[in-house]
Order: sequence, then C-alpha cells, then structure tokens
Amino acid sequence: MLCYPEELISYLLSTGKTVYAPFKHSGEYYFEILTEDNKQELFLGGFRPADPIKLLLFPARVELLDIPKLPEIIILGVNNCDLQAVGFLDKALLGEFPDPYYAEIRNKTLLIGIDCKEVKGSCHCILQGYEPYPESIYDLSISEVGGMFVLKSGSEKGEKLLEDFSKGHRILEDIPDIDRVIEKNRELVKRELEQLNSGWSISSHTEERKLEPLKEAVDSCIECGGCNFVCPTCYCFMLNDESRKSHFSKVRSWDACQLKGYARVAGGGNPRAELYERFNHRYACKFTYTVRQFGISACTGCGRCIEVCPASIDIRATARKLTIKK
Amino acid sequence: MVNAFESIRTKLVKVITESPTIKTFVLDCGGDFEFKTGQFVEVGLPGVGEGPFTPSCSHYTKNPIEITIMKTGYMTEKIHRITEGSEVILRGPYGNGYPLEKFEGKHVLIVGGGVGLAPLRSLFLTLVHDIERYKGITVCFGARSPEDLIYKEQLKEWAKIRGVKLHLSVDKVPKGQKWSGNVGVVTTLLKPLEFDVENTVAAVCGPPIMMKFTSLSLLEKGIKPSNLYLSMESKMYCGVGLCRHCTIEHYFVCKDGPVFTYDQFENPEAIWA
Repeated sequence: MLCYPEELISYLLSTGKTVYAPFKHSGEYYFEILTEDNKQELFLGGFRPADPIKLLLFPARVELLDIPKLPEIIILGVNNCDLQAVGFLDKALLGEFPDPYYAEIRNKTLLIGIDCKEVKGSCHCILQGYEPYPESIYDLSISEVGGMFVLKSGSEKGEKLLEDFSKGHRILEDIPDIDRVIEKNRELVKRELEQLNSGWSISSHTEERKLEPLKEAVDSCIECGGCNFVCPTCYCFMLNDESRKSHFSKVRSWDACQLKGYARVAGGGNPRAELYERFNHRYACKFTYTVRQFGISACTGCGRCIEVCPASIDIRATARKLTIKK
Repeated sequence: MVNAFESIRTKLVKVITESPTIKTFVLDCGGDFEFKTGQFVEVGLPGVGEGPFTPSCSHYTKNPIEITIMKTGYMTEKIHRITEGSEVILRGPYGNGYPLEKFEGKHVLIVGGGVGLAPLRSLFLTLVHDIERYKGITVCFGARSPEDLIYKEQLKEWAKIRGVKLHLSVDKVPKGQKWSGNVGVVTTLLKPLEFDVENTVAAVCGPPIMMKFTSLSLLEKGIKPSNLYLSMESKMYCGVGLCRHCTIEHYFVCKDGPVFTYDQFENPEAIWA
C-alpha cells in the first residue's frame, strides 16, 4: 500500500496517541514526541538513534507495586536493530513470569519500523545475522520509494491502523516493480554495511562461541557500565525498597553487570570480583546464555556500546576472539 | 496479570536467638503458606529492603513458618532488631526445591555449614516426616565455633531418631567455649564415613568454600555428580528469572534452582572460584 508521508504523519497525530519519532541534533538522532509544530523537522530512515529503544519501553526507574494504566504510544521510524531488541525483550520479560510494567507498556505500544537509508560506523547488524530493514516484530513497516511510503502491516494492530488510515486518506495501489525497487535500495545499504564491516568476520548470531577470560581486552575498560546502559537488550535490574515518610515503594531500576557490586551477595562474597570475570560474563551472557535461555542472542548489532565506550572497546573485535573457527 | 513483585504481610510471633549472629523468625502468614522444601522466599521490611531466605521448617508446617537469618548487612541487621508483633513482608515461594521423589529408597547424606543449616533443617524435618521412605539419613553439620552452631537443642533430639546419624564439627574451640566433639572443617567428618555410593544422594549447603571442598570430597568418595545436590546462593532480586542478577552459567538460580545437581554445571569448580 502506498501513501503520502505527510498524510500518514498527520493521521498518526490525529489518533490522540503519543507519537515518538526520530529528530536529529548534533549529528545524532533521538526519539522525541512528534507534534504539529515539529513535524517538519522529523527525519525517517536515518541510522539508529543514540538512545536505545528500551528507554521508552523499559524505563530506567519505575515504582512497581501499583501498575498504572499507561497511555497508548506509537514509536515511528524504528530501525531493525531496535525492533529485534524489542523481540529479545519480549522473550526475556514476557515469559513464564511476565514483568507487569513492561507488559503494560508493550501492550500499549505500536511499532512502526523503517528501512535504514543511512548507516553509522558502528552499525553491524549484518554480523549478528540481521538485515538493515524491518524483518519482524513491527506492527507496521515503511519503505520509502520516490518520496512515497510503501506500508506493510506486521500484526493485527498494524492491520487495524492501515484500515483506519485508508478511510479518508489517499491510498495508492502498489505500482509495478515496487518490490524490486525496495529490494535494490535495501541492497545498496546492505552493501555499504558489508563494506564497513569487511574487516570483521560474518557469523550467524546463533553460532557457538568459545568463552575464555578476556584479560587482554579488559585492560582498557574503566568499568563505567556505559555499554550496559546503552545496549537495547541489556535489561538487568535491581529492586529496591524505599520509604518516604509513611509511603513505601518497591523501585525497579537498571543495573549493569560490569559494575563491581552487581553480583555481590550478603556478607560481601562476589563470584565476579575481578573485572575480567565481569567482562567475560557480559559476552557469555550476550552470545551464549541468552541463546540457551531464550533461543536468541542478545546483540542486534546496533553498535551503541562501541560509541559509548571511553576506552574504544569494539564488541566486533571481542566477539571475533570468541568465535570458534570452523 | 499477576504482579510477581507483590508481597504478603506477615506478623512476627517469636524470635529465637540461635547464635550471636543468627536468629530464627517465626512468622504468622495469616493462613496456610504452601512451599516445597528447598524453595526460597523473599523476606523483608517495608521501606527497608528484602532478601532471599529458605524457610527452615518442614514444608508440612504451613503456618506459622520459620526463617533463619544471619546478620550480614544492612537489611539483616535491621531485621535482627525487630520485635514480636512487627510486620514482615514475604513473597514467594520461588525456585524448584529438592526433588524428594528422587531421594526415595536411597540413603540421604546432608552436609551443611554455618547458616547453610537452615535450608537443610527444612529438608531434614521434611524427610523425617516420612522417614520410612528413605534408607536412612546421615547429617554432618559444621560451624566456626561451638557458639556459632545453630539449632543445638534440636540436634540433640535429632540424634535420637531411629534411622538418623548425626555428626558435628567445629572449626576451632575458642577459650571459654566447651566442645567435646570433632574439631576441624566439615569435610573431616566425611573422610571416615562409609556408605553405599550407588544408593546415596547428598544435599550440601553452606559458604562457597565449604560447598566446593565438600563437593570435591564427596565426588572423591564416589558419589555420582547427578546425586550431589547443591543449594546455591546468588544475588536474587526478583525471584522469577527477570532481573538476571543470579545467573550462574546459563541458569537462573532463582528459577532453575536454587537446588542444582553438580552435573548440571559445565564448569562447577569455577562457580565457587
């Protein structure tokens, strides 16, 4: 289904839901609330935003006991690395014992994915077995062709949105060869990514990895935990009981496995007291544990950890050391 | 949807001082509290915090339940100061517990150290409830000093139960404390023991270093790794496999454990390193 971009955007604004979309500031994209006033500045199809999508779906700090009824939101222009990260979070947080807060937000969220038209130096989705365009998890996907949007639904929610949108808006039937044009555009971006990552080996995201203490790689790490916090799939959290006068609350907040106190138990015992042990654990978690736990690796190749790292540690280099040569 | 983080309110009905650092808290849950021996609960004080503890009573005891807690940090110090009638919050039970059906017809060897005796007391009392189902129970408990040994009065009674053998040891006897039994780490109790290794299951709980050397000692004696049950300790916030803090290898201690067999781990020696 083809539509005019400005009509889709106006329609999304008219739904009354909070719409997040990417805006560019100082060379980076950030999800911000879309309004009538700023809609001219939004940019769709850029490389992935600086902040992970989990910021919207899994807030850094929430009070847990009373799960509030949250408003419905639409996140417009989600890159595939972030869509796949949501797929990962769904598996991890909506399993046998669902996280009620995440479930509430997730149920109220509609995801609109988009083909990447730009890539960033740290992008490496293809090394993790993903493509630079929406593959799954999206409710609706957008591919831009000749200034028009080609829309595809990926869920009942997306189907419903398309149905409502098509009433009263100019919808064009697909033009011949449109799939071929989309494919060509995608190939161009993919080739750029392949070139960018040609120094790294391409391996399947479910490939077996050997794990060993990464003592060399850890030399420069300063234990800031930044890689954990910007990762769209890292979801470790703490639960703290807090009190203010007579109000007691249970607070869930993000935690980071690279920080020394992360695994420390009562009495001071720490199974990962050394930095290289925590570093090794992070990679084991990403590439081995989560594959065994949820059947999916916890790296979608967004590259945010590479950019945030003050010590310039590149997950591609570390992962290559772990890969078993076959 | 059920909120996995919701607690029930219980009332502290009795406090038993077991040692200078360990107390048992008797909690009235207001109704039956169902759990399986070996499972754990999150126990806490409103606005202060909570922590994972295993009930120390038999799982046939449904109310009030007993929880033995060692003073090791901020929350446990606060809980050690509360008095009868106080409100204690509780959520759970979580985890798998001991697979008692696999213990049937076998000799059960229970080895514990320090506050690790708490979950093992629950296991022991549960086993004793149906003692005819097992070939016998051998208990080896250790503590740092005579004064640190918990459940002293009850241990005397346990030793009298038909089919039960009890061995105790302390690491050292400081001046002024009396002790007539074995002196040495708990593994010194295991050396002279003779048992049919094919038909023995062992349950171990205690400080990491004790767990490590007890496991190695039992394996050396011929206990099968699949018959060696370890009650693991890890940092556990959520209790339901969400927060990821308690991962050991690819397991969640809270959900896949806390009871594991030795052969479940790919590199068991490293988990206590």
